[in-house]
Amino acid sequence: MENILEVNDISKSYKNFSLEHITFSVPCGMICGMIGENGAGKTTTISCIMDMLKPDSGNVHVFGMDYEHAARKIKSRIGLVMDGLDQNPFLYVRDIDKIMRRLYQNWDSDCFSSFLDRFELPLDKRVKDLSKGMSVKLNFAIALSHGAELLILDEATSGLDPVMRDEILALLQEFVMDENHSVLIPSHITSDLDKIADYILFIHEGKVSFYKSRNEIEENYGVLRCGKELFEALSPDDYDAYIQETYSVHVLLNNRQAVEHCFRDILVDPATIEDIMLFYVKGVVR
Amino acid sequence: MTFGLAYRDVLIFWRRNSKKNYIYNAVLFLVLALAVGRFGAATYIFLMAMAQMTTAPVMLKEADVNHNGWLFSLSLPCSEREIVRGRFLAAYLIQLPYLISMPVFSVIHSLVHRCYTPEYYMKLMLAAWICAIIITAVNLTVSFAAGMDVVAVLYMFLICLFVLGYLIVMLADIDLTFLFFLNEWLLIAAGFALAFLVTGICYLLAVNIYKKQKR
Repeated sequence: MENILEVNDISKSYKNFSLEHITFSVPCGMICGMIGENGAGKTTTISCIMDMLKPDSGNVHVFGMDYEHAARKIKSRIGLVMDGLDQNPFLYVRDIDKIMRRLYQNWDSDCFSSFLDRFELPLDKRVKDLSKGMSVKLNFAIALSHGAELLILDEATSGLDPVMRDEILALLQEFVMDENHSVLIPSHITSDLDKIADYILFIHEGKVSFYKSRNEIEENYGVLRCGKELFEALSPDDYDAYIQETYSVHVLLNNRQAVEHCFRDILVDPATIEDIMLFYVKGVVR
Repeated sequence: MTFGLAYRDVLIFWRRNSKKNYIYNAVLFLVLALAVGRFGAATYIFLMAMAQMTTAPVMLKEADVNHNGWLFSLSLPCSEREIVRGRFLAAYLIQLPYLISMPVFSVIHSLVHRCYTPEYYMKLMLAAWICAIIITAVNLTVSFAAGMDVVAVLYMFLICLFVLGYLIVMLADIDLTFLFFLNEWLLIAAGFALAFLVTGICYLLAVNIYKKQKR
C-alpha cells in the first residue's frame, strides 16, 4: 500500500517547546487520527506538513513529492480545515466561490454549490453571521470542492453538534472509499476517532508515543483492572503502561490474548483511544 | 494566482468598509466640491482622497491579524512571492476608486468655483498619487515585518505629517509658486520614477521579510 503522506524524523525547536523526531506515514485510503494533550505538538506537526513552518531537520513527502520541488502541486491537492482558520468574517458565503475559483485550478463551483445545499448554508449571509457549526460546514465545503486527495482536519469537528458530527464522519468515510484519498485528523474528540480512524498517532510532549493501526489496537490492546498480586504476575512485555490506584492497578495491555490465555478468570475491557491517551499521559509508561 | 489573492484582498476591503463610511466620504466630497472654494481642491485631493488611498495596508493587516488571513494565505497553493505580489496589487487596486474620484471632484470644483486652471488640478492629482504610492509601499513593507499597532501608528504618523504640512502651507499662506519656476512636469515625472523605485525596493524587501517570517 502506497503512502500518501510520509513524515520523516522532523524536529522543530522553540524556546519552551520542541518537537522531536516525529516519524509516521498515512497510507492511501486510510484515516489517521492524531491525538495528544494541548501543547503536545499536534499543530506544529500539521504546520510542518503544510509547509507553514520549516522543520529544523527531517522532511515531509506528500503524494511522493517534497515542498522544495513541488509546493504548489502538493498544496493544491490538500484540503485543510483548521479550527480558527475561517474565512474573513466580512465576506458573504457567495463570495467564497468567486475567490476560490481564482485560487485553486481544480475548484469545482458545482460541487461547492451542492455542498452548500447539503449543509443548508445561506449564500446571502456574511461569514461572521454564521454559527460555529455553520462555519465548520463552510470550511468542509471549501476543503472538499477543489479536488483534494488528502484532508487535514485540525480540531475541525469541535464546534459541531453530535448529529452534524456524525454526518461529517460519514462524509469522511465516503471520501476515503476512493483508495487514493486519505484523511489526517488531529482531534481531542477521541470518540470520533474510535468510530472512523484506521490509524492512531499519539504525540506526547513533542514526541511520538504511539502509532498503531486500529486493528492492532482492537486485537491486542485492552484495559485490565486488577489487584497488585495479579499485576506483579504479569510479564512487563504484556503491557505498555499502568496506573496505580489505592486498592487496584489499571493496566494497558498490549497482548491481551496472551494475558487472557494465561489468566483465564480475568476480565479485560477493550481499550478506547481515550484510555490509551490517559495511560500514556497519567500512567507509568514501561 | 496573484490576481486571485489580490481579488480576495480587494473584496475583503470592500466588504469591510461599512455603508456609513461610503456615505461619509460622499458627503465630504460634495461639501468640499460645492461649498469650499480655494482650500477645497487641496483638502479633498491631497488629504481626503490620499488618506483613503493609503488605508489598504492597515485594513489588510487587520484582516491578517484578527482573522487569520496570514494563515489562510500560507495554506494556499502559491509561493511567498505571489502572496506579497497579490497584496501589493490589491493595495494599488484599492486606490483606483479614489483615483477616479479626483478628476470628477476637480471638474465639479472647477465648474462651481473657477479658481484654478485644469493644469493646477492635474498637478495636484498627480502629486497626491505619487505620495499615495510611496506611503502605501512603505506601509505594506512594514505590514509584513511588524504587528498591527506599528502599521496603524506609522499610517497615522505619515498622514499627520501631511496634514501638518498642509496646515502650515495654508494657514501661514506660504507661497509655493516658486515651484512653478521649475519644470513641474519634469518634477512630476521624477516623482513617479521615485515612487516606482520605492515600490520596487519595498516589494523585494517585503518578499524577503515574508520568507524569513514564515520560517
